[in-house]
Amino acid sequence: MSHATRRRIGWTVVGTLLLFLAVLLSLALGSRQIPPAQVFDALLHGGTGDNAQVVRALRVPRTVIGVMVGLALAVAGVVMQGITRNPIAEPGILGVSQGAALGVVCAIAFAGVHTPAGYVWFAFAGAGLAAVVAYAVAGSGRGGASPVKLALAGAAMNAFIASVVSAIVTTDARALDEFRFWDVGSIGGRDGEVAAQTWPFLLVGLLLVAVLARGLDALALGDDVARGLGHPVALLRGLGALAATVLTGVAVAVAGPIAFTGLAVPHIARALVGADHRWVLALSALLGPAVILVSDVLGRVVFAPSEVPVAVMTALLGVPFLVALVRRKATVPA
Amino acid sequence: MTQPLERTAPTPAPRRLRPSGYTVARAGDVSFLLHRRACAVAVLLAVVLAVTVVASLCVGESYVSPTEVVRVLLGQPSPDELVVGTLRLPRLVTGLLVGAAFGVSGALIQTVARNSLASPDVIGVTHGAGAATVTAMTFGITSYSVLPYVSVAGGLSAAVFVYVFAWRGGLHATRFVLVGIGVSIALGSLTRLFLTKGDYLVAQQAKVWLTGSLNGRGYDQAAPLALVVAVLVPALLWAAHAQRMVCLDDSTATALGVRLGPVRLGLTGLGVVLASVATGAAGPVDFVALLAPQIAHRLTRTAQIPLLSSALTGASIVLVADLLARRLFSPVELPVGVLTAAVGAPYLMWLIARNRRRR
Amino acid sequence: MLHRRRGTAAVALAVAAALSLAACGGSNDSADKKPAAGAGDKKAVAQGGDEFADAAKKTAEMGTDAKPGEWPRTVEHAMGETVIESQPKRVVVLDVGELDNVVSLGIKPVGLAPTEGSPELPSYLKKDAGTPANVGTINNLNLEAIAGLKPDLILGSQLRAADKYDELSKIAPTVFSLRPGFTWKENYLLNAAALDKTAAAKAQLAAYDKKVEELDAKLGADKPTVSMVRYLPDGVIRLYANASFIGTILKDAGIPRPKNQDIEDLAAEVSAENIDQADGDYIFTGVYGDAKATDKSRAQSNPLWKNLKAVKEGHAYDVPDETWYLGLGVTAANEVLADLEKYLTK
Repeated sequence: MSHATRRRIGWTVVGTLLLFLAVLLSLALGSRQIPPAQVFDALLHGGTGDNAQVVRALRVPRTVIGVMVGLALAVAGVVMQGITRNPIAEPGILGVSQGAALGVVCAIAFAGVHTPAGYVWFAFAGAGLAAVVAYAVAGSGRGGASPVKLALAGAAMNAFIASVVSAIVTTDARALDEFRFWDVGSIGGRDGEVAAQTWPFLLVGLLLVAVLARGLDALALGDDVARGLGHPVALLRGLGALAATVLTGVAVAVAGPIAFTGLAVPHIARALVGADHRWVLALSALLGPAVILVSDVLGRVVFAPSEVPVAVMTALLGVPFLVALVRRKATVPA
Repeated sequence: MTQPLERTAPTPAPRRLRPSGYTVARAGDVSFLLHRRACAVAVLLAVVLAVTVVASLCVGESYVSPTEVVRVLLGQPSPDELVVGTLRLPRLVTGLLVGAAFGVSGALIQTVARNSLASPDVIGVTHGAGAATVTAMTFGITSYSVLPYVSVAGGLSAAVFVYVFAWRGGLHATRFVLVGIGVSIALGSLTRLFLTKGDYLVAQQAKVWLTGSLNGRGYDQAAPLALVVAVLVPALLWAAHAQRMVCLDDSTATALGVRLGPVRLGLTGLGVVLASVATGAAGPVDFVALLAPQIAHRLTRTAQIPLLSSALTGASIVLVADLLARRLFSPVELPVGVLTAAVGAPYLMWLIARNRRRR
Repeated sequence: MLHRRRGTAAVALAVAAALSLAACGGSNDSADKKPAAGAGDKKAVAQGGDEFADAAKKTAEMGTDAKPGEWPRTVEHAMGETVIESQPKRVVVLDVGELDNVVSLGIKPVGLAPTEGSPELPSYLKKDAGTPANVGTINNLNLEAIAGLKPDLILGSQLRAADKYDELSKIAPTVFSLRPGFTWKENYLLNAAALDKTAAAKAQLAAYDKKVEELDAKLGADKPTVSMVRYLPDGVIRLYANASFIGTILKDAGIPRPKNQDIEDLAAEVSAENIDQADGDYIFTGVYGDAKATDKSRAQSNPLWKNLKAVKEGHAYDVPDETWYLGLGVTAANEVLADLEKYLTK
């Protein structure tokens, strides 16, 4: 076994341990204080006491949803960065998450759809539309989609969606309350049923990405080289975009828009295991849920007894990361 | 240096000294190079603004004829004194100043960044002001005589923050913008956090403020803004001059012995102060600072972004948007920021899409 | 030169750090001020320090010295003094509380600023309120629309519209209370003073007091504790405390509250995991806005909810949000009393 492979396996093991730890934290910590022994007892033997009920009926679904969302966002981030060859690509920054959220709001407000399985389709449509527009905007013109152009296109997209929402909300008071629920991404207070209704979409997205992993490696070498290696570049991009859209749509339909996870996790994974997409994807799939769960746990304890939505925590934790990334020479050639 | 010298010979001696399209204006011993087209555009924009001003005073829940408006403005007794003089005029003055300040601010920051996409909205200033104000509101500071200072402090500290973290052996426009976007997202999240944790009544008020609104804004808000603009006039005259240096590339500037660092810092600081004060007066009226200089620049076709025309354009944009905001869903008013964002965001995308000339 | 630049950057960094530290300090304060559910002795203040506790007393001191039927009269209020020349006939109200106040005094207002959430009139005031024109929304008043109605009296509160007082007072004599909410009785008398309806208002309040006494007597000495739970969007659950409209009514009736709600604040916030802190002998729940958006069904499918004593005994009731939680006047208070009697004496 080569040194590189050993290192990759090593980091993957570490990632697995981190995720395991994050899951434990998410189950054990919350605005209600429950002794760890009782948490384990509730998990292993059930029980009808208040503490056992909280663990089984509130924290377990919440943790499952956190894992799903983290997985979807981190993998979507890897794919977006891969197909755009752009270090700054990410569902939140590109406005794709907001697009999906707007899709959900329209589903509730105008189409009268009220089940997660129903509005994931609207989330897909919104996410897809926002992704296409943001990327088309950033990619046209000389120089293609540079980091700054992508980020600006995303910022413009976010601002536009915000103004559309303001206009809807001002004229339709009911939509205000519907939207407030989706405004800030959170994995608390979601029904376990949400996970049951959306996991097939997550699975489809992940399978698609697994098929594409080698193609993403080729794309990293440049379009010409990829073509030379016999990869259908346009098809790869199209399928990649589809996968990223589905993944983002699932994450938003479940939790609302959450930024920065899709940005930070792929970069960390790449720094640890190198550029091979199969390894990057595997490690991201482990670290993404860990990041979401840890952020969520922090959100539960900082303002206890009330809770801070996870999206606020990831934004606050993610910005220093973005700043560090931008300060690196490779991102912004001076 | 970058100006191409007149090539067509033979030409009369005086004309050889100045680039084409310019006229020399003399006042005593001092003479200026005036860009003819830029002057014409400024006059045109002033006319447009004047029309907008009159329209803003005439149109509302009730229509007031222009003659009646003029009577009120001249201080003659009129039945419309209340509506025009008390309700529309203070709001108009605030909108005018806010628009002009955002316009100039955008022009300065775009000049320094040498990037038409940079604007105070993008680099965190308005979000900083927003976060600071909402934070203050949730802690019970709701007085409109204090809030402008809070938002100015917030805008400035956000800008300093972005500046410091974008600095890496020099200030690169791209890095500046990217850090700005990141900080904006973080501050936006923070704002939402305080909105949800704060008193519900206050949160509702803060929400209206956060979209940028001229409703109920009057001389109380306009006064600090007017004061700052007045104090900054000498600085702005310097800025108009300094702009030219910033347009030089670094090596030329060094050869000429111009130190660009302090000049850039000065222009950026000026732009940030203006945007912060304007945000303090009316809330973050998004994208005016992006739009106004671009439109003005396209009209004048000068090498530099024209400051006066940017101010005039900014003022016109805000007034037109506010007029629409008042009338579209009457009697419910939209915040003016909704309209400027609805127009400005697609425009930003269009700019990004056809950003071919530069870089 | 390089050094100098670094120096500047360092100073700027220090300033930024200091500012952010100051900001953090501020947020910690707020965390402390926020009443933790259960920390019942903490005197929390939502608005401007001691003013919160004193608001009722201060509002009670406002009003007029004029005798009934005496015009013009000078009314002292939250923003100063206002002279009203003659009996107002065209009244504009800027909040639901003022609407309740004038409607209960037999006046049909010409203009109303409804809440953002519901542009229609509250159903309990609909039959007597006439058809007031909309003048924007509570937080986004349309001043020109108000001026267009040519009012002769504007009633509102400092907390809601202090920034627009200057303009409003130029449109018509304007009388502001300090804030809506737990000061509703004082606000009522203040509004009545401006309308020369003090006697009628006092009679209404006396009738309310009588109903309260009757309820008090009916419930006897051993009253059950009442817990007030309200679901807001975003999964926020509030336990309403003494410094709220509903808190004052329960207090008047001598109905005891759970310890964590017996605090001088509007409300305490709890998360779904701590919903067991909402327990009492009776629980009355309201939902802000649309029930689907506010997650109520999910919060009530919370396993802890079923374990609550009140729920097990069948003493948990959904009550109308618009009177119990959005209500701000005597009409709403009477409705609440009727509901209380219905549920507590079942």
